Amino acid sequence: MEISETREQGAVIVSPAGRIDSTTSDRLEAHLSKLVAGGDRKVIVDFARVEYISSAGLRVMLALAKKMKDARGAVALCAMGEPVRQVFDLAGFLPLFAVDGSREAAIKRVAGV
Amino acid sequence: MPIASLSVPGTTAGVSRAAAAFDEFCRGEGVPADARWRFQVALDEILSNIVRHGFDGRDGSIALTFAHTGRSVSVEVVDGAPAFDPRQAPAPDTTSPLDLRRPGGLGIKFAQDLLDELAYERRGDENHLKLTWHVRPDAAGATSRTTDGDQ
Repeated sequence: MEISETREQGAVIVSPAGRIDSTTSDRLEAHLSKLVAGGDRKVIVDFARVEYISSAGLRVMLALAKKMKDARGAVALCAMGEPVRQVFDLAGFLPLFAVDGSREAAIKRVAGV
Repeated sequence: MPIASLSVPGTTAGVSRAAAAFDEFCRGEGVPADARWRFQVALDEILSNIVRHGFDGRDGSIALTFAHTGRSVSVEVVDGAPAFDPRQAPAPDTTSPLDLRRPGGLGIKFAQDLLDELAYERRGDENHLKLTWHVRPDAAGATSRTTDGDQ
């Protein structure tokens, strides 16, 4: 998994590429934790290039959501492919997150917060 | 029937090696893309569970057999960890609000829900788990062999 990062309208957009599983999720967690610790309060995770996510990756997303809630920040997830969306759905995670179809919609959502 | 077998160490690196080997098997045997991600998620859950809870720091290995008949894809997982029947695992919490949500137990649910069959047997001092997915007629054309570009 590779992680790239861009910034737009005050939001940081994190784009993992590849698989988010038990062997790669630590790297994503470290990346996101660093952003939150560094003061980022508008975080978007773009799943466009994610092949699939397993429960190890969902733990990372749950931890991010909890941290951002405590910090009164905003999190949005976007561009989930079918494998990712289905796993979020099975876990009952979709109601816990703001999920947008496109990166643009996610930026609009968090920029307005 | 195309079959591939391998043994990996019961470690995080072994789990990663199993995922790479399954990808290679899928590419070589034209396993439908839909089956591929379902098994990759299920295998990550099952194998990381064996490493974390089964072996729990002890040395061990995991034997895997991949098979593709054209009509179904299956993966057999054999390990020498203490007996554990994943079908008996308690259901995870999928409904609590954010503050109360705990992510435990989701992995086995994924393996059960994403695949069609999960058969378990304790044979001697080994756990034998067989995961099976039946190829859907509409997925027959969308094989990994023809979508290598999505790597």
